[in-house]
Amino acid sequence: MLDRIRSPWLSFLLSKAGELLLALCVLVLLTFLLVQLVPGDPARVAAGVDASVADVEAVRIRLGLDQPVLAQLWSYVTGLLSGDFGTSFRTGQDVSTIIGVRLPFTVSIAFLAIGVTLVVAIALGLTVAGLTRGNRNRWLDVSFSWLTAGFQTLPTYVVGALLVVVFSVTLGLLPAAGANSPESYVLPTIALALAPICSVSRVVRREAANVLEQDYMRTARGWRISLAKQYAVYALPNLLASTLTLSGLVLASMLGGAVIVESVFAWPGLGNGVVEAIIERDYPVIRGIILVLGLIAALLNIVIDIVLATIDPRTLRSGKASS
Amino acid sequence: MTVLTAPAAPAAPAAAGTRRRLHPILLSGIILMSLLILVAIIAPIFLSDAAEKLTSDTRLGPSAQHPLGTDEFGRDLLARALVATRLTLILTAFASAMSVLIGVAIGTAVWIAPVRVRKFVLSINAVAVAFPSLVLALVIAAILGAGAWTAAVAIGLAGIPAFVRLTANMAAPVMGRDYVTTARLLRVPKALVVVRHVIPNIGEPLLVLSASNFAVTLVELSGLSFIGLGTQSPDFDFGKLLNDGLASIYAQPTQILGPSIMLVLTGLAAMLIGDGLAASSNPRTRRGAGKATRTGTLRRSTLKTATPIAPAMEGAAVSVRNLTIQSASGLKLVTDLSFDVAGGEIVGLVGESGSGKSLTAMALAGLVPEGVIATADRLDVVGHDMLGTVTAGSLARDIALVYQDPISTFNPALRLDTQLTEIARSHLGLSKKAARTALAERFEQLRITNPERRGRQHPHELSGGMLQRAMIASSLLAKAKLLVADEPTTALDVTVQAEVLKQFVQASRDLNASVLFISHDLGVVEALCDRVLVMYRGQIVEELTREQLRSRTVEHPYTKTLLKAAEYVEGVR
Amino acid sequence: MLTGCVTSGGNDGETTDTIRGAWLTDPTTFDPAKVSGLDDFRAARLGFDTVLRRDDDGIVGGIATEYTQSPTNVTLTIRDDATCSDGTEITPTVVADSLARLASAETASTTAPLIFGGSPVTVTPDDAAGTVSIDLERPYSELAVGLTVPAAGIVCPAGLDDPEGLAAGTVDGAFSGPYALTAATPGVTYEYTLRDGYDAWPVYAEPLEGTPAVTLDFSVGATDAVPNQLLTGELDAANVNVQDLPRFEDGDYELNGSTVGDYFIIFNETETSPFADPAVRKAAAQVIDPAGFMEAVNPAGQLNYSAGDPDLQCVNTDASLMVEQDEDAAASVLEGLTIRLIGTTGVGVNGAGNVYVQERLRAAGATVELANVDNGNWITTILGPDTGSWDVTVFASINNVGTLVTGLSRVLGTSIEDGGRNIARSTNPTATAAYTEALAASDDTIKCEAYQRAQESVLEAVDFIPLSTNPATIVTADGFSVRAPGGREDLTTLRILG
Repeated sequence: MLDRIRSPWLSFLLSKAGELLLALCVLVLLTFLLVQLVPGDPARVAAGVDASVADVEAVRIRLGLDQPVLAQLWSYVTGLLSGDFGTSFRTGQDVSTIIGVRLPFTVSIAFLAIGVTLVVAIALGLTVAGLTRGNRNRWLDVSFSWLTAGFQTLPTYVVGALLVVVFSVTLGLLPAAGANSPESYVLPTIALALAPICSVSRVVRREAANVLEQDYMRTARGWRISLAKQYAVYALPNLLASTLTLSGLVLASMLGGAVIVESVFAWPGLGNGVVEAIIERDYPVIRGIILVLGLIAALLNIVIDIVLATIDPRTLRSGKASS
Repeated sequence: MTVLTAPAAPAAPAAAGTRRRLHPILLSGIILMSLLILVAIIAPIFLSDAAEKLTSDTRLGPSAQHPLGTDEFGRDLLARALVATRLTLILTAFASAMSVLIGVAIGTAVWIAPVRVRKFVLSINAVAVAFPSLVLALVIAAILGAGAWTAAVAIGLAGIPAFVRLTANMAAPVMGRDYVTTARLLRVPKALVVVRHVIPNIGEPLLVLSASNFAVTLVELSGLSFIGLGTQSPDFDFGKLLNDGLASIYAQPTQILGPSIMLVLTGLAAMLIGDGLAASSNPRTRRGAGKATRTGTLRRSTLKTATPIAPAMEGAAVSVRNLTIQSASGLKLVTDLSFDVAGGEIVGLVGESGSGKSLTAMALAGLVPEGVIATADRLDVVGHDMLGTVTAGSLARDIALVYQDPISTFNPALRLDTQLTEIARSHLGLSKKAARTALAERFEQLRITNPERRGRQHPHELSGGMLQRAMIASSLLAKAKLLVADEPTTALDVTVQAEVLKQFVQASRDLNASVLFISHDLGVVEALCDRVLVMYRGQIVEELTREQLRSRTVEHPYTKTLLKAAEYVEGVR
Repeated sequence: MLTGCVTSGGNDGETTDTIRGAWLTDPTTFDPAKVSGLDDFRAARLGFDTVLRRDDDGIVGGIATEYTQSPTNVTLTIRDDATCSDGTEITPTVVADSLARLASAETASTTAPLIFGGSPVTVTPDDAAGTVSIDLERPYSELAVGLTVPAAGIVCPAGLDDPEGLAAGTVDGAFSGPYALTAATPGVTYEYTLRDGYDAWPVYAEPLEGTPAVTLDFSVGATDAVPNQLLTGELDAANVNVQDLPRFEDGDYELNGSTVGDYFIIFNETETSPFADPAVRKAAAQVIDPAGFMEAVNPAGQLNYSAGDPDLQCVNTDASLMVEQDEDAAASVLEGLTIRLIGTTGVGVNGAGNVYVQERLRAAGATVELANVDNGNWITTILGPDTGSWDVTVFASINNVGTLVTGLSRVLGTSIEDGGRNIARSTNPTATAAYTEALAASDDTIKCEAYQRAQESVLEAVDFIPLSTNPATIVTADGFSVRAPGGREDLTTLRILG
């Protein structure tokens, strides 16, 4: 059916919308099911350790957990359709409010880190690729491999803790935690971006090495334009397509990394919220946050696909570039 | 007619073929991983007690007896870090293998299945891939219960979608290949086709990706332990040790030192192996340890010759004396080339593949490729001394290059006018609008249809012939004094060839430019060129004028062979 | 009212009237009657005063100036100058309404049974005489202590009229305590402001120094980062985990300890567990050394000799009642047994205490399956209807009430299934009878004597193994102070020093 639509952009965007819808359906079902399967009785947890058996039953009824599973699923889905994410088992707050408060914190740090990652990694990878062309600067090649591989494996929380020890506690330059000021964004962003910078710059370097060997780069060299222009205007666009494709996964996984960074830096985002909620068996909050996180990830991937299509129009014809 | 001396015996091959040595990055990775595996095997045998028994020497700092100190149970931290290697490696290998094997199986299976099934599965997979895997693993582990193996299963499962996607993507081009279509037509069962053709073809990149996946899995497993869902007491892996020690990171930092270092080393080893495999499979980087000689250079020759250098021809546009091009290992590709090109003259350079024609042309333009070194006693090209310092701008204007394969010559990501007006904008100072208009005029001149709209298109939207014309159009824009054409019509349809050639000649006449026309097709050369230089094995063996060529008055045996071959083809046509 | 200089707090020598602290997580409710988590207690204590307050050596007045007590009654004399945050006078009727609500079955407060003993309660105010009389159907000698607990905070009429708003913290007029909740951003921060004209500070035997803060700012969810923030001056006073305490030993900071609760081993004594057999229980006690446990979990704690900390009234302090360590004797009983141990990851770092217990039992030859789980999983298991899924647990109690009842009721008396609190599901009639006597005692001597008999009985039957206390430490920066009267955390004692 989509083939019959004439404009390639329109059919492309429609297929993306279809993807999003599918993602949404799968996520809703998945979040509901997964949460049901987590062991532990949420009514008991909500009632507390001092509650009597009768108290627990009363709580169970109050939370609607005595309903059959399908009935719970139905009320969950119908609630979602009207924008109601349910209320927290623990505090009785609207889950949508909880998410609404926490969402900007997670999104801001994740997107900031993504931006930093792309800029630094592309610059780094491109530079190293250029400097090591034709087996020049072997030492750079080897040390780049070692350093990026090493820092990529260092767990985010260790990096975060080290950053705090050095820059906050010892040097007193930056705040140790919380999201109170522009400076408080610095350390969490670095902690979150470090490993992705390493892995993306490795990808960029590999792709750049490929691109720089291509005939069209030889053509560009023949035009005797500055090195910067060669790389930025002629090499980079060809680089971006494959980099984004291969790095799409990494970038989406930064949402997961945000979970860890948030706990080290007491960042009041969704990550911290979901870990707490899992511990507390706060089903509605768990569902809501996982749903939103999944949605953001799906949206991010679609944005990447759209950016790819803008850079390299050939992908419009071939359909999804990243699937 | 001049007859040059018979070519000297080809230069002795470089010192007995270099052994195929292991790339240093791969080697370092393998060594490191072997050491770690050794530790994994040996450490638990000797250090189990120190690592597991509760003692009363709790929370000690580093000392000779306990290089990293002890934990709150009095267990030696260094011993714990080393003993943990075994469980870590086993769990990581298991989870990684799970992702790879199941992912590859599904990724190839979708190509055996009908199209609808494939699209459906891949759509669902796209959603799964998009989801942050750590959160997915978190929930799976929470359901299955905490533990080393459930964590490994969770991570393994969470990693499958990525490999499904990678495999399906890598298999796609293979499935489109001709030999696959042939096999299908021959009614070979689809499953057999997929397994026999796809898997070997994607084997190498998969290996590389698996190596880096190992490293990623390692980190993710430790991430699960951080949340407390991974390995449980009394078992311990790096992640668990990190988690245990993390709470004391400020008070007793040595507790995380051991597992951090081990973790980094393990990840490093895996990634070095992956990097090394990738470098080894890439022919450009395969030769690991080579001499660190700078290549891609054009220098004045430092050799003192006995014979004096012949002076340049009167009014020559191009004058080459003793151009020598050799590879980094010393193999001579072009030896002591000398020739002149007059202004407005069309000189053909013919020879078989590997004779050094293209290299010569590139050297003339000052674009010596990586991997070779060029030297000459003189290299004057349309007023520029290529052996000295050159002004980039005027050089770009004066020398125009037309390459063989139009598809690869153009930058696929940019529109035509952006690329083709680069010289005009950068070196001729034209504004963007002026340059585009001028380009459109040239397009029209070269009979490219829709000249105004063409510029805004991307290269993949034009045919080969049109692209070559576009390339020629850009050289007109720059008013080049020398056109170097490297087999410009070889990649085009026969029907288009003649037309492009005509325009090419017309263009050079309009510019009154000199032309160096490289080809292996004598018929084309015969029609076009004023003079022909025949190259064989890096040397000019004969120089012919148009009349000599036409009348087949040749002397050198190689030229005779060439003509005979051309005639044979002619006769068959 | 204590006046004093407004002084330098924080690092930069400027004067401040704000104290910045940190809470573990969002309170689940701002209704004192519904408290369940640690941060609920904190919120309740700040916003609502109780009629009585703890001090190191007993009970002092809060909203009530004095009290009399009998096994089935406590009569309070209410002060005449206490007001609500909306200006309403706190009369005996206001107090009675609040307490009656706390005790009512409709409210279903899970703390009420620990305060009132679990039987029906009648609360009678006498505005003319200025008294409130609390009558219990069954005797409960711990009522007075119970009334000092944050859950018993007096809720003003404005709050009683709007229970939902009260729980959400949005009823401005509900507060009877020194501070009112003025801003709340869940997951981020909570702000309390000192009430104008509040003057009902308890009179401690040793008076507090310094000035109360005008604003209290609590950030939330920062546990890992809190010690760092204290060191960088971003926080003034906050709870710090035991492993980070060494970072504050250089003298610029004060370490203020309090007891949250206790750790003890509880056995599952139903027939599915090997510990139904007293000999097996004794063997376990012979290898599990409380001193080793304490070392692994929190060296800053104290050893216990009962199901409660040494500061509790009537608690057993006789170490000779403990089972002596004897690994060989234990091995002869435990060898080859399979034991399912469950505990939370909060018992020491990542459940280090559970690991310790596991290792000790393994050293005696048993096979131990350890379930090191989160809180939700743990309480579902030990309190759940399925008593066949575990054999022994490391129990971490929260004894905010500060009586022996909290701990002892877990190891004797009516089982969970029958409406009681006995997790061990043990049957020990001697202990239960003595315990009931203690609760019905008419004076402290009788009470403690009966308690002692009960404790001796459960210790002899090894229905549980006492381990150590679960302490909490608030680290205060230079220029700030806090106290734990009677060993329990009380944030209304936060002061800025001058």
